[in-house]
Amino acid sequence: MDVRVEYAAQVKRAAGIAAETVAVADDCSLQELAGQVAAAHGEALQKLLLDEGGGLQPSILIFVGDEQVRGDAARVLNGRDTVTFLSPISGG
Amino acid sequence: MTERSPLTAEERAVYEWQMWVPDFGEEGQQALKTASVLVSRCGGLGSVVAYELAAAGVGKLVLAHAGNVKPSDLNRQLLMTHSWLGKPRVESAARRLQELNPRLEVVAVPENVTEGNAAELVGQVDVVVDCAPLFGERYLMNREAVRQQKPIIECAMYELDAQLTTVIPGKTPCVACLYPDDPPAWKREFPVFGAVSGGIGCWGAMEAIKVIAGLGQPLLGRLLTCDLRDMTFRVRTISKNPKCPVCGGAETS
Repeated sequence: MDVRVEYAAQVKRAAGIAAETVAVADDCSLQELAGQVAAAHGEALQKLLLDEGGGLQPSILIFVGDEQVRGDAARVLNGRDTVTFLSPISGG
Repeated sequence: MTERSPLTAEERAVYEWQMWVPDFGEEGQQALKTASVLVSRCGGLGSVVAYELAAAGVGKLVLAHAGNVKPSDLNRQLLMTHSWLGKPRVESAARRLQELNPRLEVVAVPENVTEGNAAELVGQVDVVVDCAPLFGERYLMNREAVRQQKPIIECAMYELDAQLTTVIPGKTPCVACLYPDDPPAWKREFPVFGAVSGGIGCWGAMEAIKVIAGLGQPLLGRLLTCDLRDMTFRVRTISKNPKCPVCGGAETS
């Protein structure tokens, strides 16, 4: 199935794109999606999205549609879901 | 907030056009007049937040920002001027704000928010607008806002991205709910245009005005994300962390 992935702030910079459609397995989880896009876009994105153990970085905010998903890396995605990975930004 | 005082003839003249806004009017203007707001820091974000709050008729601003004006400030820190290079930032901010609004009470603190002053600074005001570049300062303001039960508006930007949310302790996620740890990827210096920081600063000021005056629907439990590269604006729902060490994640009011 296809899911749309959007990147915001520093995640977008690391990915090099703002959004893409990604083909994933029908039972793809958020964790697996993060691993797949991290592998596709290289080390910079990998360091932002994943911790040393390969799990989701706790500092990254994740949204499915416009709802925040917290602590649910195993959540299975639906076709045509839009997943956003957003890195925290501050001010100045 | 302190007891409301009637508007003077001068104030009526200055704020006439905003008092025409439905659900705001004279009552809303009086609310602003008697309100106080902490803006920290007063750089790219905070300059514009403070300027718009001064323009709107907030009674008192507490500005916290250490250091002197540098050349690299001048692409976005609109309360700083070329003539003030090398001189204290808060003094320039106070000077420019008073030029716009001589009725405004300005408390200019030449310090950034620290463990040593956070409680005192937040204690002086009704509302906090967080414009700090470092998450350490954000966490301090958040902790005090939660402890003292004061609203805090969170503004942020990076390149052409911007974010905004309003925290009401006990009702919404707090900063620690959203960002449980100091994000490792965030750097003190980052790419940004003044139009981006200023834009979200204007809207952050508007959130503060809405909270003070009871106007409209502030971004409670919602995060506005903006990508000015392609003009994508989204309002997303954010959630409390039930195990938040700062706010506890529980609804209190």
